[in-house]
Amino acid sequence: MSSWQELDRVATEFRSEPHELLRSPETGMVMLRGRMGATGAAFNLGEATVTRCAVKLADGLEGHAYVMGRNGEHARTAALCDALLQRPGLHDTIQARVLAPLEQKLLERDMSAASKAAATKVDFFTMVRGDD
Amino acid sequence: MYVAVKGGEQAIDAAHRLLAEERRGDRSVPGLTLDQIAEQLTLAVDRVMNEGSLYDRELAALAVKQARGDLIEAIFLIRATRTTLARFGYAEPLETRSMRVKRRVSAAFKDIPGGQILGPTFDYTHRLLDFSLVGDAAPEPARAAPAEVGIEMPRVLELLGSEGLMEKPSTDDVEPRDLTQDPLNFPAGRDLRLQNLARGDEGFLLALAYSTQRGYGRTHPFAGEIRLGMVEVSFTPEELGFPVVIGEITVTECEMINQFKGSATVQPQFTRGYGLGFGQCERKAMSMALVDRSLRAGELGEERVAPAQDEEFVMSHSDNVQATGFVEHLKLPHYVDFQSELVLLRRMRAGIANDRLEAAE
Amino acid sequence: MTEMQYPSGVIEAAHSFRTIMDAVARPGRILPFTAVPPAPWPLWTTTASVARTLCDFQTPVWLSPELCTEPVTHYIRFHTGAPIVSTPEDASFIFLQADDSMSDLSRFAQGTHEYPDRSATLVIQTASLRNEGHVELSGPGIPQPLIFHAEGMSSGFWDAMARNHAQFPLGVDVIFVSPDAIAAIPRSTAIRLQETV
Repeated sequence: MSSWQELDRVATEFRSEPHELLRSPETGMVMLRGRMGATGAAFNLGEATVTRCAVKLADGLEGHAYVMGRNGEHARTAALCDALLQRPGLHDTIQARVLAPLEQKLLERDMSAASKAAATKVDFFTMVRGDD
Repeated sequence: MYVAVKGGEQAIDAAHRLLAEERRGDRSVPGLTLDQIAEQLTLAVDRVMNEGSLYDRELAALAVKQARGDLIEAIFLIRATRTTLARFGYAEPLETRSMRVKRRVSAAFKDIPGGQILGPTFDYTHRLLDFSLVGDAAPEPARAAPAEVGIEMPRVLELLGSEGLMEKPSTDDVEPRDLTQDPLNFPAGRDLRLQNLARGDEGFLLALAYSTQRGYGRTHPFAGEIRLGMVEVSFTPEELGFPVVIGEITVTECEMINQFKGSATVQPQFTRGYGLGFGQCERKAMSMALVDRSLRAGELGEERVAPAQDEEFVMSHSDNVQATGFVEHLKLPHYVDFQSELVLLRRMRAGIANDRLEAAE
Repeated sequence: MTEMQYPSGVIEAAHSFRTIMDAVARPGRILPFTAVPPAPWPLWTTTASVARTLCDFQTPVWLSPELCTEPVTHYIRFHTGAPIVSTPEDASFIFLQADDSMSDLSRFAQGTHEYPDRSATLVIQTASLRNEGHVELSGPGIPQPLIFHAEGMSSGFWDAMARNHAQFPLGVDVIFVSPDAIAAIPRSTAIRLQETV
């Protein structure tokens, strides 16, 4: 969900991890769905571009990624992080150095959007009719 | 009848060169960047994503640039691009309940839990041209107010639903049909209708929606709730077998509350229409909800008298890529067809002249 | 701006598709078929190539018991995205090892009169394919009646294939795959068993 720029910044040091590509980055589409009346049965809404990638580390760990958009490096880096997260000695490091900062960034972004929206909330005050 | 005609290759080549030059315009004016289009012509980009039926801001911005701002041409470009891409599968339905709301209004209730949030709307502008935009002066920053994130806003229609005043949407979890995969047959069903409307031409849907308000298949609508915001996209790859959040998108949603309905066995309750689209597309989402409700005429036992209630009419004419293809193909060579009609007409006239001559004799 | 990232195997898939298409267009003709991707045993690389070319998330796959190993199901899911189903009648593609006891094709999807295309395609792994023996093929795409042999298929199977043709436009299509070649017998092909002397 994070932007490539942000992932690139926090994951640089892990991108040198040797790996083979089980599936080199490829772009396709996923059909998105909505629900009739927001909560009812599903319907097909329209597609979105998605790029996927799968990697295998020297120790056999596999990592998979599907990310919206067309950025192959994004998918590859995400797949690499997915694989490294499964390596017992590295899980906490990736969690702390990659995932936590990205989550923080998303939270800040959401917070900023929510507070700008909140500023546009209407305060109603009732006018008293004179002819009563 | 079409007959292949060779020739004109050089003329076509030169026409493309001329098109490229006209697209660029005056070279002393800086060229547009995709970032500028994606960031500043946001709603044009949203429309292209919606009707092109592909969520990708960057591709939509490129299409707008390539099409010189002709949005139907841009939509055509996006539809063509779609066909070059493999499909990985179907995402989980978007949960608009957990939308991170940027705008949320209800015209049915004044006081709603979570409040009326106006968001970035044209609604209260005076529609006077703003000459401060002639230059590139930075606007004042948006105001901020204390807010929480991660809270769900209750739905207006669910509040009515809990009292039994609102019809419940059908939740049978059958696999929805997909009009990009299967030939369209009538009657189509609401799943296919909503998919068709979601990619349908905004102008066409707007006109149809307007016609229902003017009495052609009236549904007595209230805007129950309109939302704009971000939702997560979840997808379950076959090889993983569990859903993964792969990104998030902006959507606009409109829930219409419509004319109530009851029967001997069912207490009267409001009916509903639904609209959902990519990006900020309020006019489209509202029109879609109105037309969705009108198209439910058969299901709700209403007499079908107006165009907006005619599923086949609406669904067969809503797609602007199909429509433009058929209308604009008329400018392609029809020399042989026309020649045959010309010959026929001349022969008829000659025949009539002969008859007159014979009658006179 | 990011350019489109097309799948790396897209050129191979196009070649493989062309060969499969030619095989179906000229029933019984044995075409050399080489495949690049490695595949998990007991799936041959040629069979794997057919799967990767033709199957996707909308084509449920059924694997016969001898092919239905964990590495194979994992491979199919990963490379094609196709769901693996346990009931053959729900599958669009059926992968089988040649088996001389096979004599019933009616348990696979036969299509409907409205949508004859909603039928199964059988992909059968056979040790060898030869234009000899006692099965005679004729019909669209076959200029002169053609003799055909797929190792491991019994006369019971060819009787079933004849019945399959009889219900055209319904019925299944069959693709035979050997370790280095491919041949197809679609439902449009008439089958005649020559008297063995």
